[in-house]
Amino acid sequence: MPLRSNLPPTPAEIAAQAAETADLAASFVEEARALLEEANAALLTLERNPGDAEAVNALFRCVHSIKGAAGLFDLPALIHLVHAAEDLLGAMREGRLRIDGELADALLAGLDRVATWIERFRSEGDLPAGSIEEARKFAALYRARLDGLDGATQVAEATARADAPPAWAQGAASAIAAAAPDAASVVLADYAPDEGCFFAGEDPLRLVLATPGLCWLEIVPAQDWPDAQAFDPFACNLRFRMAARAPRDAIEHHFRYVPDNVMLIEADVESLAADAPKDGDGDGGAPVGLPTLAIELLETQARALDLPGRHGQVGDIETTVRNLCRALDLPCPLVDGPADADSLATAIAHLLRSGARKDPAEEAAVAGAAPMIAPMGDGAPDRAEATGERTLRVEQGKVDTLMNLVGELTVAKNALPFLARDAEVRFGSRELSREIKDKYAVIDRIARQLQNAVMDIRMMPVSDLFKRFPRLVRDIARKQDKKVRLVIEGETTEADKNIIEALAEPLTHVLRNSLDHGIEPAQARITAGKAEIATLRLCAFQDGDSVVIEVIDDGRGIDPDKVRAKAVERGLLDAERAAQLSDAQAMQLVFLPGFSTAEAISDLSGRGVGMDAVRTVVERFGGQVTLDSRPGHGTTVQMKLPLSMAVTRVLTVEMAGQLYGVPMDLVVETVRIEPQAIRRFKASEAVVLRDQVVPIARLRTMLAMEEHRPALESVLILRVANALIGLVIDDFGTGMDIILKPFSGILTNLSGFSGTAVLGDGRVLLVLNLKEIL
Amino acid sequence: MTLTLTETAPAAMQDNPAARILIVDDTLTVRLYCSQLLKRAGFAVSEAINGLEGLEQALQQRFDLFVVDINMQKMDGYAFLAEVRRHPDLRAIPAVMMSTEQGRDDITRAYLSGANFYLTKPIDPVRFLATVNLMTGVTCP
Repeated sequence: MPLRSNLPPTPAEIAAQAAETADLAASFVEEARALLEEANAALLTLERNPGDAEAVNALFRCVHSIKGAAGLFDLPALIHLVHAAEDLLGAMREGRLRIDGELADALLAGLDRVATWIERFRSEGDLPAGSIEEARKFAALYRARLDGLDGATQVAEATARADAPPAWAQGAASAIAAAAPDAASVVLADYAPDEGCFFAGEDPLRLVLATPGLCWLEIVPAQDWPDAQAFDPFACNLRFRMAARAPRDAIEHHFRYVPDNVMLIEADVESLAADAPKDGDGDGGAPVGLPTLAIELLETQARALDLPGRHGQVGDIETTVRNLCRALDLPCPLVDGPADADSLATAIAHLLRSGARKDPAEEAAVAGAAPMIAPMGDGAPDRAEATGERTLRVEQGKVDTLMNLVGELTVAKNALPFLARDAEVRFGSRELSREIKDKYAVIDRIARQLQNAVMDIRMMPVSDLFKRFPRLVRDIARKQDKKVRLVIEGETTEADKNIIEALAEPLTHVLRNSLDHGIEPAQARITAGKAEIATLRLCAFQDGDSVVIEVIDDGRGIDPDKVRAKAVERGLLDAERAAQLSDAQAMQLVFLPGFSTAEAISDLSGRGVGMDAVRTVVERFGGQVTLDSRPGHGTTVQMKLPLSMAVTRVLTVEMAGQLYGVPMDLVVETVRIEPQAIRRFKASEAVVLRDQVVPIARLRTMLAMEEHRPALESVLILRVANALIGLVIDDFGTGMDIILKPFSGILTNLSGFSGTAVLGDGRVLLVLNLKEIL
Repeated sequence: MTLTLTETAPAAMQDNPAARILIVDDTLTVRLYCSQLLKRAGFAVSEAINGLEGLEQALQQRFDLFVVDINMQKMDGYAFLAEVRRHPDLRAIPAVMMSTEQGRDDITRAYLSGANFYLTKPIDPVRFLATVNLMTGVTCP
């Protein structure tokens, strides 16, 4: 007996293997996510512009594709829901139904449900309990909109569910009870297949016979048989009534693809009463033993021959028939050379009469046959090539590793200038020093290019972040009865993946603030003489080494006096200081922890996190956030973040022989001034620089070092939180690129420093967190 | 996040495919599934994401069977089959249409466009492979 492994796998084995492939599920999840996103976008477009045929088509195609792909997995609820949605969209596509707000809500809710199911499927491999019921609710909701439409699919009466055993079951009570003598209850199923089910490749009888625990079956005509002339052999006119001894779930699962055609009722066997004996079919599942597929195929070819429009072109039918004979190892009744329609018809009839009917064992063999003959040359083209895909998916961890290595390289290469200096100073070889410097220039250039290339991999367009907002804005606006037009600009602007991901939350918050507090209800806008529909702009653009994201609304704006009053009320500062602040400065108070201008806390943005949370996130990534507002005209929130975050450029400063780093993006300029130019105002110091008063802070004081009065003071002019400040240091160092490593372990809580970096010569540089110190 | 295609058909089969199949379907997951099934069964498989691409490929290399979806952008399955049946080099190649559409009109239209068989999605893998075997003349061992 040959070993199983030597045999080619049967289709069933192949199918089992293929279905188990995690790749397939992963591909499905990813594709479904993308399709859902596309569908959401199309739906929003459609809602804005109900006549947009392109959007209807896109929406239909997405839902249709999800259904097609979901069919590969055991996801009956999901399929049921999208199927109903597809019917609805089909009606829209045919112009029988128009979108409205309610319908859009229902569809969006359905898409959301599908999205959560997809995530559940990804993590658990199945759908939550009760998903079928939920799918039915959605389906009923969608069907309700279809009902009453011209030519709409009428809901089968079978979907109506009654609790009492139906009349047919009561009539057959004794037979059912006899078939299930030791069961307390049975599930009664009434299955009425669609008239056109044969065309859909369904095999109702086979499905019924495979019902788990089937113990009693009755097949009746769905409608009275018509007379011979009106009889349509292709229409299914059967109705199956059965009783099964299996849990209701199992039966429901068995009929999961035709839930609308089946009515299930659980019935008490005793209540059905019993005395007549009748043998049941035990656990059902009788296999159909004829080479049905081959017959089906041949019959289909015979029918295809007669179709109009063939005009004698029957080459494909001939190929099919010849191949079928070859596969079944039957002598082909066709003579060599091209066959015409008549000879094909004769041959098919002949095959159907004689050869094709084989016994079940051979049928199984046909189904189990894996192809063995081997014609033709080279293999199939690569999948990526076939579909024109040019992207490569890589785990993020790998890119991070690459980035770290590039960082190490940057640091390592910084050792070369030290080496060049050593060569000259310690070993007295100016030539070697120059040589090293030359080589350094080359390595430096390559390292920079490498760094840029790796950084580029991590760059992502902000559209990945922005695309979630149209839906958010729509939903909130609808909920609050406001009319808002969201304008998105610069969505192709790119930034580091981590930054983009970190911005999701703060940006959502800023948008919600605008919608909740900034934008007025339509009526208020009209009264104020503004356009009824508010405009909310979400813009991104690159500004040097930064990416800037702005949220601009044309709402009621922020009243600086209210901000002052609120800040005082919250005890954030005293009334006197508040009054001294300029309007622009007062606005920035909203970024203080514990501040909220909302008169009433709404369920959307009043969740305890305010603008201070936004500021915290943005600053954590080395960015700045500012707010600008004109009462009555609107508010602009601007977030400015570094393009990438792996390499930080710092200016080194010397303090008592120690090196410290100051982030270069804060440095405005470096100046040396005479000590007497620094003037005292009470406890604080300041210097007048080009007619501008700049407050002065001394780093030695801050670091608790002893005072030091040189002949010339070195002052670093910094811009921190939108204000200039001069920082007195001992001496300036050089600028350099470093890989900033945050503190870990017991140093984590060390304040005043944002981290350390190892220098090319092995020294450790402490990088100051000036926002904290000042 | 990484996607790899696994093919477990014996090496000999990969070098000498039983037949060449072109899958024309806009859904990546369906293409991936069908092509995995067929490759494991020893077929050579090409993929196209719409009728237009399918036609382009069909004209570039020889196929023994087309497996065609209905709903696709640019050129749908009906139009693809109509083009195939019009083209002297392609018209003798059998085609299976495979779609979630179950309406009688859709299926009739499939046959009118030139399909030789119709399978409904969700794909029944055993039925699908058996159909492909029969239509490409693959003998049982």
